[in-house]
Amino acid sequence: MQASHDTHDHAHGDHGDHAHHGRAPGLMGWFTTTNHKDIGTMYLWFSFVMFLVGGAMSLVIRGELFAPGLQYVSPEFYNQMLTLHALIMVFGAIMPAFVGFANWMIPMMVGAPDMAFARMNNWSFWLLPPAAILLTGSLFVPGGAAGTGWTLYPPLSVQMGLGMDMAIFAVHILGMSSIMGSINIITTILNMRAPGMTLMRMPMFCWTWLVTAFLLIASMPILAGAVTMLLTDRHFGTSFFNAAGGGDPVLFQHIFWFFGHPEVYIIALPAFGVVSHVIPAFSRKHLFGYTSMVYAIAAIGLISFFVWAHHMYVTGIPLTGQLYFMYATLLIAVPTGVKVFNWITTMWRGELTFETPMLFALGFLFLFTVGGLTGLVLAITAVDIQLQDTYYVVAHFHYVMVAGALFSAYAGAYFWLPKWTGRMYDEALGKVHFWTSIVFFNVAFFPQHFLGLAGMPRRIPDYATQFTDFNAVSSIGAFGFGFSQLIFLWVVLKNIKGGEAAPVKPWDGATGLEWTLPSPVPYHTFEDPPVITEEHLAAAH
Amino acid sequence: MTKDTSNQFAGLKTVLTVLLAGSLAIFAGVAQAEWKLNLQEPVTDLARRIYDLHTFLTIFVTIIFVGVFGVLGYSLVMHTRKRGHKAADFHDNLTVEILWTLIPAVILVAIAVPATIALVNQRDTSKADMTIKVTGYQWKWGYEYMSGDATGIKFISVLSTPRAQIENKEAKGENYLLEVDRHLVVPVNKKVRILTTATDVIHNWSVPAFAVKTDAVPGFVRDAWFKADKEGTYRGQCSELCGKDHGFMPIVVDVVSEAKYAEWVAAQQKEMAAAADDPNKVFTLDELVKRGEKVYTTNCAGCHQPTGKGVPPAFPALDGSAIVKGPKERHLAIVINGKPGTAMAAFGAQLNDADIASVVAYERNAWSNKLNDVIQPAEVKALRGK
Amino acid sequence: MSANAVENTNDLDTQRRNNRRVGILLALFASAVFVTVIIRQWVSGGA
Repeated sequence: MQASHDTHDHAHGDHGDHAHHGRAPGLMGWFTTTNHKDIGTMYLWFSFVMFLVGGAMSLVIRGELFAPGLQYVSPEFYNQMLTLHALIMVFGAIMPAFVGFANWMIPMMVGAPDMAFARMNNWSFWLLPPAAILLTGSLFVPGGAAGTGWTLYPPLSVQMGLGMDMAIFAVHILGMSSIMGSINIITTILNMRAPGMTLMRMPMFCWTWLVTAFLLIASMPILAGAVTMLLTDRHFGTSFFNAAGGGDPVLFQHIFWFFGHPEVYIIALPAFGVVSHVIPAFSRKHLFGYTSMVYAIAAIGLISFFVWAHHMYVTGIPLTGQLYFMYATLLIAVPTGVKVFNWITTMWRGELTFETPMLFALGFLFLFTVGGLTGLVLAITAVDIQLQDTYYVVAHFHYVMVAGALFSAYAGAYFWLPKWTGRMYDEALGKVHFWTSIVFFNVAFFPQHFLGLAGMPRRIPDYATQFTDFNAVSSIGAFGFGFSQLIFLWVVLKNIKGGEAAPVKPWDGATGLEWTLPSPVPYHTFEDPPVITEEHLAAAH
Repeated sequence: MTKDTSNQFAGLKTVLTVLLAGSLAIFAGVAQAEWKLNLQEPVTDLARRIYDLHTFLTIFVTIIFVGVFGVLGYSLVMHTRKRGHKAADFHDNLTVEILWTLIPAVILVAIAVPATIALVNQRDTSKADMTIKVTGYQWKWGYEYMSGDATGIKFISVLSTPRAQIENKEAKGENYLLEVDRHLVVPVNKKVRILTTATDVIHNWSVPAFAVKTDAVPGFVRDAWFKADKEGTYRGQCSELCGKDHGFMPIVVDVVSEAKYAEWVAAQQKEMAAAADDPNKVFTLDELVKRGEKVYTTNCAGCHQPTGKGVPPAFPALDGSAIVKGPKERHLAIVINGKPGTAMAAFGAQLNDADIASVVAYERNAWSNKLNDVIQPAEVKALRGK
Repeated sequence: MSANAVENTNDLDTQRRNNRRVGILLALFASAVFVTVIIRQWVSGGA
């Protein structure tokens, strides 16, 4: 096994020394770096910045919804905010965050010196900022950004202005970045594992990413195809989605959700992976049911391609279609349940302590289960018809996505921060961050279940007065949740500036190769493959 | 916030308690106007069936949640380092794993049975007593009675909440954003089949009390049905993002007795006969502008604004517009046929000749467009279909 | 570099070749999905 940055060096012999030092000095170093740790760091910072941008947009939404009537923004701008909030959070914040974790951790976890394609890795990151500029910049072009919701349904999206084209190109670029990142991750995991690190001995995070990367490679081109057809419908006179020209607007929804449902698991699976590391570490036990976890992940990944039309129960798909998609959706609850039971059994009869990473992992488990169970309610087609396109759905997917993905990303960040920076973070601040987050999150989103049940549609800038009180509560929660996230920024900045030095293994229950490396980890690791012993394995056998 | 673990559990317990209390409140069906916690009161058999199914599911998932987190809660309290618990060493148990795969699978099958029955019932639109075609426009609903005595009655239903209430310049009325100028009227205890379609973008016709929610897709027809067994006024909203005024196109349905329905039908037919304009009537400029202003306020002001300034570039200004100040044939053609790929609808399908003539005349004479043009319905008629 | 540089170079070449093979295969798969989605709609009379 050898380093691919060494590959790079052999190809350009005169750079022989380069690999053994850090990146080039200054800003140029960040532009040209091919080091997986540098790139991981950039992904994580990028995603946090986008998270704050998308979060600010959500506060515009919640600010407007604090009281009935139009107060601050026009309905057009409101629609643009909700569209960009979703696109930025999904493609700009959550996905890059987990790609950042993958870049940092996967080579260290499998005992590889770097990612398989180090230069392509650089490129997949540097595609993101232009895409982000296209998305946010579309707010400032005539007509503003796309106001269609992140689902970009035609014919509404055909009516939009230049902002829509910018969003389409941004999606293309983000898709390319994701596909390149996935190719890199799959190749690294399949080809670069240290001797003795067999697939079934791999840490769970690598397993979740392996499945996720396959989902990405299979689903991102579908989205790219859908938006390409949208683009030609808009500008080149095709009628893929135009009934007047023989097309079908609902066809777009089928294609979009054929991408969109795997996308949900693209976000959730790496989150499952992170939690599968944090919970055993703070339970001082091995992950329960490693093998069944791996099968559950694979099953979830596979089934996720066969449930897409449960997002489309009210579009008039045939009865047989509705029945099939209902059964398939119920089926996906089985492997998801297995995972939750496995995590809980991992904690059972453990030796639990509750440092910040563990708190966030427990928060994840709690909120994700709420979101999963409301998902079960929504899966029942007849009931979904009452709840589709209401705030119940908004509450459901925020429980799954924000709580599921964001809380798990925080669990991972606090867990591995000492390894990355070589210093312990401020535990008290971390706990404040957790408790404010989970309380305000529930204040913001739990009442939305009631709004949805009472019939408040989603994506409206103003509402009937009977919805006033819960909306006010929800807005207060959203602002509290939003500002709580700045605590995390404070924790990280404080940690970078100083703090107590972290030992090689700051968490006594942690297992895995990454904890055999010094803190902070050296710029280059595992240039010679490590010898894998039983105690290094995250999974028990 | 402290390092004391017991306090952390207090937090978790509080969250759990709040959640449990919230769920119990759902079952109790607390139906206060301001803090409404459950689905709207159903008035059809199907909606009641769905209501019960939802109640069952909610209780069921709450039990699962409490059960699962009860076990976890026990572990979180008892199996801690603080209590001196030592970690056991086990990490596999095939029996347990098979059990917790199979048991949920069996439970899900049990849920799927009533869910399937309800759904099959929901989609059975056969043997309807009457049919109404519902057309979604940006941003209003068109209704047309397709069968029975009411055949031929058609009208457009638009939000009637005054702009001033939306802009917070006036106190909000009782049915703020849920009121329209013309209600859909249907008889009680009759199976009403709804056909939905749209002309511009996808809308969704939804009335929660009937458990009806069906997309209105341009170029396609979808159907749904309801059989309301309680007289009253029921309100819903468009449930698919359809652009700027998506939040401002409510649905109001009056369910009335058979006798009252017959009365309503007769009154509608009389009104329609009276309102039918003599196609050869010649209007004066004043008549046109007066009538046109009303048509403009209902149909055009949403985008082009009462000031005619529009919201460029999505909704162009009419004040000083080259099209409005250009040849009237071109102006009329755009109003009649719309502009594909934009929110400009083909009003030829929604308005009669006199309305189109007057609104175009109004636009050509309002604001700074003082063209003094007179347009007669006959001119509109001549241009239709061209 | 470690002492057994010659061995490693051999490994490295194999490694690079294998990586490239997997990478190209995956990229082809992604392109095929993209093209299929559009062609499928095209032949079904969409455009």
